[in-house]
Amino acid sequence: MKRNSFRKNNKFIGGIISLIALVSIVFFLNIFQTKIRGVFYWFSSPIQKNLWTAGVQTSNFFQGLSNFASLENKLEESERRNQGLATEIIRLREIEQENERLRTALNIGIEKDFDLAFAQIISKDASEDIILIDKGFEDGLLKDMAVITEEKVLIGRITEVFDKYSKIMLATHKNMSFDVMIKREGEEVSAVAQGQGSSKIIINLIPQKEEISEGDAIVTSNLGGIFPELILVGYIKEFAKNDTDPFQTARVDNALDISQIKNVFIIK
Amino acid sequence: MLKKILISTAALYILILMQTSFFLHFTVLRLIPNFAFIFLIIFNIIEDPKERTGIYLAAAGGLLLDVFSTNFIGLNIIIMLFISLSIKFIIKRYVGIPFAEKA
Repeated sequence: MKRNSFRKNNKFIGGIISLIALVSIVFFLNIFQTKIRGVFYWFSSPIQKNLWTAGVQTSNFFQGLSNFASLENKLEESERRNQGLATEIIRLREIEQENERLRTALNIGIEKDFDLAFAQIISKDASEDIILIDKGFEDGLLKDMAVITEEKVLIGRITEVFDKYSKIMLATHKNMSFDVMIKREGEEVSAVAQGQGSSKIIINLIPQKEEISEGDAIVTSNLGGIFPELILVGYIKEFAKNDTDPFQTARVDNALDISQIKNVFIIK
Repeated sequence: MLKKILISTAALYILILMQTSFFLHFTVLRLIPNFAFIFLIIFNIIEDPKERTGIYLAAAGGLLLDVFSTNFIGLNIIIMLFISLSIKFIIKRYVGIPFAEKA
């Protein structure tokens, strides 16, 4: 009887010691988490870079096979869109010439759009819309810098910077909210984009009186100061207009497919 | 036992690298299964409940998952340890898997 109670006591004390040891280890690991993560990323990144590239190529190959059937429809749709874009280009060229004339008149030098840094994606967090890139503090990157693709499509912003690596919160992340403009022919509508996680974005606070339609382009606005303006976010997929609500909401056809890109650009 | 832990941890590490850099390009309905998690559960189910390799592996796997995620380090360690201990407890108490006992 005594021996049994002694054993039970021993087990209880052992359990408490294990728990204290576990909490201490977790606490200790979190003090040095930046260093620990940095070391793991350092020896894992060469393998991960190759795996990411292989993933993009393999998925492109299979996507190409599955898209083959719908290629004709897509071609027709692209041709229709092309005609619309050709008209838009002519209009924009006129505006550009006018802009250039004004700049010359006002003596303002035409500078490059952005000062960019190039980086490669290493991995993506399995449970959240966060990616890791191979550039960090040593390359001049800082927290909150905006990240875009080659085609000027919005990716997100830097949330954590290590010496040689950085973490980017994608625009689709649940904690991401930023000002946008819905571009229509000749007019712009201000609204707010809200990440939903799992590569989804919705647009909120679209004034009820504004007319929007499917396919309207959504670009960033510099109102909130998070992103530079005119970076493509996506296109309106569908929208809900209810007379009782003061604002409309819309779902976005995201212009970014993170699994299809290898390289990113950071706006310094 | 040490050899078994080292080999299983290496396998888990490769699985996590594959999951964060390769498998995410092949999502179904934008979802991707957590292969490391599945591996750990299966390992703990088929292992003899008296052995402790699964518990050490759960701690190592949790640490690796934490490093490659954005949460604080320790969250996955605690989750994995809890799951591993629970599986062992349930199997020991209520379930008898003959092939597991022989292993």
